[in-house]
Amino acid sequence: MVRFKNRYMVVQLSNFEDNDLDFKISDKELNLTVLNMIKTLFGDFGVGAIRTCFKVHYCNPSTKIIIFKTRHGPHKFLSSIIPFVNELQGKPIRLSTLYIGASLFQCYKFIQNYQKGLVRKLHKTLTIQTKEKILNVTGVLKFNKFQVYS
Amino acid sequence: MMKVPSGYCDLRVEHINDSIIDTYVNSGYSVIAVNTTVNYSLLGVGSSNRKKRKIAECNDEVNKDQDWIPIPKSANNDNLKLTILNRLTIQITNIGQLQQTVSSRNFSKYNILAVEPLDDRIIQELVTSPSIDIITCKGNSMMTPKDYQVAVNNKIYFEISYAEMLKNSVTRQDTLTLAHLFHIKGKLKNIIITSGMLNKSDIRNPYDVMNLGFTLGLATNQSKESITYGCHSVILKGYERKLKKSATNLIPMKSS
Repeated sequence: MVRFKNRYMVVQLSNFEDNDLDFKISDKELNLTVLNMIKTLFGDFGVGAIRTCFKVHYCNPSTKIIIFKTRHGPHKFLSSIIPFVNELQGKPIRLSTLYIGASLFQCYKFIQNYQKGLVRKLHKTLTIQTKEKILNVTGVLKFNKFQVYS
Repeated sequence: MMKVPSGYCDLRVEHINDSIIDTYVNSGYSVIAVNTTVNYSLLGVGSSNRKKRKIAECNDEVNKDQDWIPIPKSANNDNLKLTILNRLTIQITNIGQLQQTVSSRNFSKYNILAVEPLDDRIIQELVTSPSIDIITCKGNSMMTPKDYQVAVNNKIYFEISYAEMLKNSVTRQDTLTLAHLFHIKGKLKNIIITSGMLNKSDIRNPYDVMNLGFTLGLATNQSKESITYGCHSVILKGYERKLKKSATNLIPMKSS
């Protein structure tokens, strides 16, 4: 039997004002903006192909790392529209792809290494609390509603 | 100093300052080229013209009596990872203006020469010229498949800029039309993708740029080549013109 393949995309969101504390990401809004962008570029065919399997799997408000989940096949639509998403909640943003993986465990390993590298780079300027905040990547593997939103 | 090009390249950057350099280093680029545009059809008219004064305001450092071509935009680069080159884009209507450019004094300060033909009739002469690296086209330009083939044999590359695609629907359609025109004429051989960015927010990751090739109709390996090997061969051709000898890049094969 042929296996049902999935693709997980690890994406980082960056907004250009650094000290913007009011900026909070919600996965419903992200879902809508991405689907709207697919509709403008690929039309009804693109939305129909991707809507059944597209989902914002994880989003971390402090590190601004997001995981999108799609089926293998329409993931080409998703990966090619990510450069065009440049507005969320009326503010300019930029999404940049970090990694595309086939299983959540590989994505989890990548995010852990990525955050460790970030801490190593900013080693001297950080306090202990922010270090813990950056390295905290719980909620990727266990899909629990409380952990995702906290 | 001439470095052997490697890694991801972006061969069209309109402005340069420290924060832009930081963004490029963080995104993972290793070579960028700063662009200077010269429009011959506007420069040629009399000095009382309003358009000419507008151009003179844009390029402050133009020495009007001696040279039409301005000095390249300079940037202090402390980072060893990033190489900054200079690129000149000329918009011409006849082939004599190209010879005028090549013979001028400031031309030797540039690494890459790109040409944007404003008249369709000169494309046939441009593709056989040995001094051109890049041809920039608009979506409505007429080019025959034979011209495209000659350009591919002469190692001349064609350019697609993605910063205009990010703005709005109309400019996005124009860029997609241009990409499909290249597919009709020559199956997207010798294509490079550049940013052509005006703001800091237009810069995208190299991985994003490769994924963007799917919308332009590029295959997976073609879209990878369009920001790595294609750009390297453009830079090496620029060196070749400077040294008056050919430059090649040798990579040792690993025995497995």
